Amino acid sequence: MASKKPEVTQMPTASEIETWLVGKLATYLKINPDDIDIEEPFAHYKLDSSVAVSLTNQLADWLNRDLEPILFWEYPTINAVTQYLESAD
Amino acid sequence: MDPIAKQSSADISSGKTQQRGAAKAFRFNPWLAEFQVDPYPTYHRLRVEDPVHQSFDTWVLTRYADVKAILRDSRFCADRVPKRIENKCHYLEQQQKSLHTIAQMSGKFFFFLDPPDHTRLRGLVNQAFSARLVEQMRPQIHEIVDKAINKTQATGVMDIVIDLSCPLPVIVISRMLGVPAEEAEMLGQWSNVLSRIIDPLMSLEDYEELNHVAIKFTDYFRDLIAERRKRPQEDLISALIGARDQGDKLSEDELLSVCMVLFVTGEETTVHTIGNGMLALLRNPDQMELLKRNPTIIQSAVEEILRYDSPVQQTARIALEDVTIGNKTLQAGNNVLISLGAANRDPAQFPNPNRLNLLRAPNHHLAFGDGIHYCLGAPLARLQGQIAISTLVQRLPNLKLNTDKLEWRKNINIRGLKSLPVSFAP
Repeated sequence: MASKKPEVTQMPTASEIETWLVGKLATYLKINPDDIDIEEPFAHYKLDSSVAVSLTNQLADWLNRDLEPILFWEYPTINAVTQYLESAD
Repeated sequence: MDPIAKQSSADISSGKTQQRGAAKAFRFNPWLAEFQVDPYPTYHRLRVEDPVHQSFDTWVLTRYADVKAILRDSRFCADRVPKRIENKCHYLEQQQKSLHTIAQMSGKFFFFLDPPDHTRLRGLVNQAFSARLVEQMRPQIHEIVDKAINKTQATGVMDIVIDLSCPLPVIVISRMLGVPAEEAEMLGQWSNVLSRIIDPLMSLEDYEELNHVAIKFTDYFRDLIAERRKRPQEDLISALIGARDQGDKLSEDELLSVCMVLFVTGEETTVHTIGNGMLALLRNPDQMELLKRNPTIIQSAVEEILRYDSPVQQTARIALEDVTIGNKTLQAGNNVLISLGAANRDPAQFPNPNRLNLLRAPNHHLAFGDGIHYCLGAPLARLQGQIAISTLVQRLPNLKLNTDKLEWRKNINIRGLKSLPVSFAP
């Protein structure tokens, strides 16, 4: 898990989390971030399950909270994940 | 399986499965908490409403008749897990070599092979993994089970999963292979890591670690194999080395892969046969009492346990050509999620399927699968299940569940508890 941890003085906003997710997905899938639809199920991008779990670990690290490894399955779009993280504290 | 790419996604806005009006069908999401705790209501609903259920490019089958038919249908081939593991390399920073060992080893696991490779490999291993060799393990299994119970008998409490069913299969497989006793613990630690090879909840970093362990495992067995070539013994490794089929024999890589697959497939499955079985008995005291009074019914009892709460809940195949099942047409290349857990509770095959009936007959459950990939280790699994469950029930009077919260492992293919605390009269 190589992600650098920004100084978390307050929780990242939903928007920041969304941008982070889009960026990460674009990197892993090797596609243009502009081509990522936040409402599109991860399954459509054929996202590898291990990448999903790695991303969840990185998110947990960054947000300094416990996250279930099944996050991307229970909340299967970027938008669903972001909304969940924003609402559940 | 790679569920992100293949499984159903839940309702997008809420993340929970719901029925949006009569026209919108029920969606299968095995990652929901309630499914993990008790998958059977979901299976029953699917079987009734949508027994050939589509979710992206995956079809979920829940009827016994369909499941059994597909398992014997040569228009379906094995799941392509080794290739997917290899592909994960692309996501890693140091590519190619990082997951090479596990990709290569898993490439020879039986259930990922198709005929004729499968036929050949399995034929050779069958020679070595004989009924006689399995039966020879009987006294040792008794010894291991008794020892585990002896440790806790005076206290009146025990954790069946942690204290008994977890260590048992690792020791049994190690001894069967011919691993020296002092190495069994190390093997156990490696096995715990390696058995997660097809766990979808493994991160890329987890896979890298798994690969390191696979390298240690193969290095160790390479040495052991070399020793047994020089001095064969009455163990499984020697038997595997000696297996011949008209001049054909197992290659070094194949020998290593078989050693690995025995742990990967033989450990967790057996752990949960015993764990799930004991839980079922604890929850059905009349059946526990029946078994206690009639120890000779243990074989039938274990078959019913395997049916009632199968450790292996799902398996996967790929359609090689377009196939019609009922009024649905699967297309070539589609994935099929075969629910053994659902099939084993199909009322069309098993009257009163939700009832634990240790004397159920006939009981043609699919807990070990069916067709060419039928579990090679079934006799060994049965033997361990029978001895462990029988001994626990006979030796520990007044067995009761000692917790009000059960924790299930998060793995949709395998169903098992993390722990099973019980109390008994010391």
